[in-house]
Amino acid sequence: MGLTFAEYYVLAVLTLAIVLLLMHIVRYDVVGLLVMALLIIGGIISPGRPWHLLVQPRSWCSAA
Amino acid sequence: MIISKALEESGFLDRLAEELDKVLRNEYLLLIVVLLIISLSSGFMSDVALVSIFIPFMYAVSRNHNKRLSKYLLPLSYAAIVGGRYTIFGTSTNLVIDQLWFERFGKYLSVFQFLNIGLAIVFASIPALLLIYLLLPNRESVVTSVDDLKIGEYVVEAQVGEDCELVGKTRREVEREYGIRIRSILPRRLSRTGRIHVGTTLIMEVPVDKLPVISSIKGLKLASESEQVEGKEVVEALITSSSPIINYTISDLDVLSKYGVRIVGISAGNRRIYGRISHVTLRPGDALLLMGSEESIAKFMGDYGLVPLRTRGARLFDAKKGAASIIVLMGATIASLLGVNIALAFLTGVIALMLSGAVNYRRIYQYIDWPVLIFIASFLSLGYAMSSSGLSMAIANVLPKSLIVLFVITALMANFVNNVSAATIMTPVALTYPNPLLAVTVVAMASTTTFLTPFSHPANLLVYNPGNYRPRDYLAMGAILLIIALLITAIFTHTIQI
Repeated sequence: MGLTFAEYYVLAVLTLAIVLLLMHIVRYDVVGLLVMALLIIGGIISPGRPWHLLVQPRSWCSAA
Repeated sequence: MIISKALEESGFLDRLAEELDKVLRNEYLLLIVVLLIISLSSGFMSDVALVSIFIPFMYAVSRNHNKRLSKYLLPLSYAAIVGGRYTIFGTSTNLVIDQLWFERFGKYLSVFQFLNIGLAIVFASIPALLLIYLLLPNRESVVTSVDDLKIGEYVVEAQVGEDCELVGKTRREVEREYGIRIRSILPRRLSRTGRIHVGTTLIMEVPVDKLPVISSIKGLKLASESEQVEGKEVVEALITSSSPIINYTISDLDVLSKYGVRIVGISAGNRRIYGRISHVTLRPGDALLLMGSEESIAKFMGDYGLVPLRTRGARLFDAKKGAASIIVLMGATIASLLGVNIALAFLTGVIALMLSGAVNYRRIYQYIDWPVLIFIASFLSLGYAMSSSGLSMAIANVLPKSLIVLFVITALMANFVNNVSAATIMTPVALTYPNPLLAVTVVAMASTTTFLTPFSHPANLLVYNPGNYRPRDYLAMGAILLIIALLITAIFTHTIQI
């Protein structure tokens, strides 16, 4: 079963994120921002999507 | 975060623990009640905050029952972690799952979507935590006399900013007004005028109960502009006899660049400090005031064998604040259940707390854990990308359609990578399952089983040194809770309609 370019790209970003989180080279929020930037550059998500997710009011209700 | 912080600062839980200790003399009964309170509170409060609050209580219990601290701290940390799962906002992973569910189906999950299974795991975990308490080694603790320590006052260094309300006042006026003692004003040439100038540094002796007053003086900076840290959490930490920082000065440690933590004060027993606190040589029994984010402080304390010390005086019981926080928390939760938008319900609660004076509006931004919010929002893009690109479907096709396999993969990822990552990566996969609600419930339960290593959760790291634990303790004891969570999840998902 062959993957499309978009699937390969997201898989590569996912792998990079896991490696960075495992190695603790950079802080976790920086990893998140890097992932987001790579997904925008790769055209996988629109630039407005992360902003939309950030301002989702429900995300702000975390107790943790 | 804001309501939870107000509740933490009110000292309500500290008082509750003290009262329970007086009433319940049977050790097992006391542990069951306290662990249950911690687990249930965790659905509404930060796990790290709960562990910090109850560590001094556990010291007292260990002393009263002539047992080592290692018996109590790991169950304490696990109780805080195990409880957060039963509300949508109790843990960040549930919010991630909720958001990805919304992206897929256009509606949010209920606030208590995971109540049944979450509470079942909590109640099943309490006997397991008692078993862990029995199995844990009675290991020599690095601190044996913390209960006797009376940290009366800290020497705090603060810079006078341009808009500081202390500018122009005399030393004596400030001492009288704020109930502190100014040991010296640096540089010394400016102190000769007798009045406080912009740009001077005050070396102050501050009683523990006056610390919040000092930190809220307008224009008085506990950290200089170049030394600002991200979080504004302030934690008291005790230097133990086994700590590797003994005989070093604060400037030797370079804590700020390594950890993003600033040491803003020190309590050095009978030693007199008149100069900069960064030049003080650290000794066992000294206590440090640390400022930074909860996670960075936990890491610093874990690495250097420091013990969190929430002295009774540091947080006086504020009945009004405690009652207001609990009422607001209950009101917002009930309103959410009745169909009011959850964000609107909690925002109204925060505004009510501000209007009642229980929360200072100037400190609202300090209460929010920004790195966590940024991480959740930015990492959610990955979950969204996995769904939209079709990668989640491709992964789901490769994986066996077993909920147990889904649980195990998510749990391992949560323990060894990160819990939010586990939820973000596995939820899009779960959404492709024939029964997506069952599958996301499995992901929610698995991503909160961060018991297996000291580094899988900041609460685990916080008890690592005080309990003198080894990584194998986490692996062995955590496996017990992991199996219980897996069993309960399997029973619920196979027999009960969630």
